[in-house]
Amino acid sequence: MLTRQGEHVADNPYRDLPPKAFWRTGVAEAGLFGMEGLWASPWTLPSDARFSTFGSCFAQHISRALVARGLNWKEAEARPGRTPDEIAKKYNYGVFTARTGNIYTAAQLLLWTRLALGEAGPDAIEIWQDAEGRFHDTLRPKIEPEGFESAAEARASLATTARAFRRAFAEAEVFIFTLGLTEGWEDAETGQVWPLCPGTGVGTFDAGRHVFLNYDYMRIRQDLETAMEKMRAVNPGLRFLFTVSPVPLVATASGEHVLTATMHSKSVLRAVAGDLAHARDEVDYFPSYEIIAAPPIRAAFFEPNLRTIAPEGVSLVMTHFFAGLDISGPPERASDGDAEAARVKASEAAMAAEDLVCEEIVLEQFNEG
Amino acid sequence: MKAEREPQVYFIGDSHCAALLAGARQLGLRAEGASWSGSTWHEGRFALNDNGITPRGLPQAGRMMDELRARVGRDKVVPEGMPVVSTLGFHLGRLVPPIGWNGHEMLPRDEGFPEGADIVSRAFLRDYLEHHRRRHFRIARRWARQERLILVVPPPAFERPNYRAVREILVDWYRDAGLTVFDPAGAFAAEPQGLVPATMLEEDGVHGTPDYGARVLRAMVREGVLDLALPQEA
Repeated sequence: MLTRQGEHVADNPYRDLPPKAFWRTGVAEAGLFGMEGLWASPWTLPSDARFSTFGSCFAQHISRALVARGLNWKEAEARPGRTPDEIAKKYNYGVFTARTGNIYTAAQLLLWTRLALGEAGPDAIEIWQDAEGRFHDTLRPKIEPEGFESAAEARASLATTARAFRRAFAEAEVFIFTLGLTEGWEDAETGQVWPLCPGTGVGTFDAGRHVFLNYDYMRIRQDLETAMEKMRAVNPGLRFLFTVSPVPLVATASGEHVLTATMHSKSVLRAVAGDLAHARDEVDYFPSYEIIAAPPIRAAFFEPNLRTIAPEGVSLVMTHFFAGLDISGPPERASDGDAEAARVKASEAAMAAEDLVCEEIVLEQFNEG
Repeated sequence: MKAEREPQVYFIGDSHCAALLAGARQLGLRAEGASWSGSTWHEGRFALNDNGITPRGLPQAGRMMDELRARVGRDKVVPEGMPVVSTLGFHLGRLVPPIGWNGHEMLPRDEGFPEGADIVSRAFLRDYLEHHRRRHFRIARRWARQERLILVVPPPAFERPNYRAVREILVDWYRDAGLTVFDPAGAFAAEPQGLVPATMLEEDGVHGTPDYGARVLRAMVREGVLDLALPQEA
């Protein structure tokens, strides 16, 4: 439609919308691999932006993809130097920015934030001893393949990770968090959040003490906002990128069918993440959940167990992620990698100097003067 | 040229072995040996065959062993039943520093965990050391079946927690495998901080002098690890 001045104006708000705004062109005709513009970051980040990654198991894919692309993935609890990959993997180094293990719920995220800030100490977390005498950190039940050799070691390790978690938000530009579950367990006596139901891996289930909670929208939003505020009190420039894991629940304790429980859980998490992204400039939402689990995808990326995500699905998710990510800003610092490399180089130089001395001492054995 | 009398003890290992050899000679023991850089021991550049331990792919060290064979007058350097002292498997100057590259700090088990320090679990540390020392342990066990092997831990020359934590695990490992290990720390326990006095250290502050070697040898004899009569004390 033309105005009297000859200008083109839409006669309704839909007239000038791009193809992605319409189901036919955005989804039906585009097909699985043809969808475009699913996500565009609202932020222009510096090219050396540091990304911290945490969350449920799907978040591991984001860590790996960032590393594979050569982006500045923040590794706040790195393996000791010259640790071979198989040992790093066995002890869960390099999975998330710190060795937190999976953080499934917003309540868990808030607990880690409090641990990192010293508002709660390692003593707040139950250390459980198994029948073999090994000790397990109930906040990270799978972090050590055979548990710790003492409760003191478990707490010292937990404190190590709490400090690393602090670095994860203090020394990053973007904190990526994948929301996994609404269902969780808490200790009614201590208030401790459990990542897994006590008794299912570690811990001893006590019906009088361990309480099932299906966190609702308000509680999840409140926990996320509290965690964000605490983190931004340390690092005011920190941004949050939320995603929702598309991986369905293994089981539900809600009394519902696991299908409806899964849809409820993901819907609530999606709503919280989306609303926070709309409400706050420092928050954004990336749609990994939709890319895998939306109906038009026809469950194409689920393995036959209808739960595990096939590598092709992960790859598609990350393709959309990098397509929408804007790291065209100028770099802001020498990267952590440079500092680490300098430290390692200095240590290697010291070792080499010691080698030279060794050689001299070895040669001195021939000095009969 | 072949030695006129058979050596009483042999020393084959890294640079710390050189001090022990020099100390043995200072004490008047008939001692023979060869040593080459700890970094090549660390890298596993050695082999064990019927003639004993030998460097691999190291021309200079190979020549040292050839000269040692010439001095003792045989290919198999250490005769059956004679003690051979080595530092095989320690080489801490190459093994320990990378553990601390990302800020990790450990203490021996009885001392707990350093306050406020980032740690790894002992299970992790054992796996880490096993990875880097698998070949050393395997060959040390074979060597001990073949010859009368005595392993000597490097001098307690400085206080660095990671070194002490690693020493403890390596020593436990060898002892659990039935090998004879002598830790000179006991000989210096009464010294300030339990460290080797500066007068018994080379300028680098890491390696022992011949006096250090002599003191360690005396302690080994006193504790029955080395059943030799020292000439002065005979």
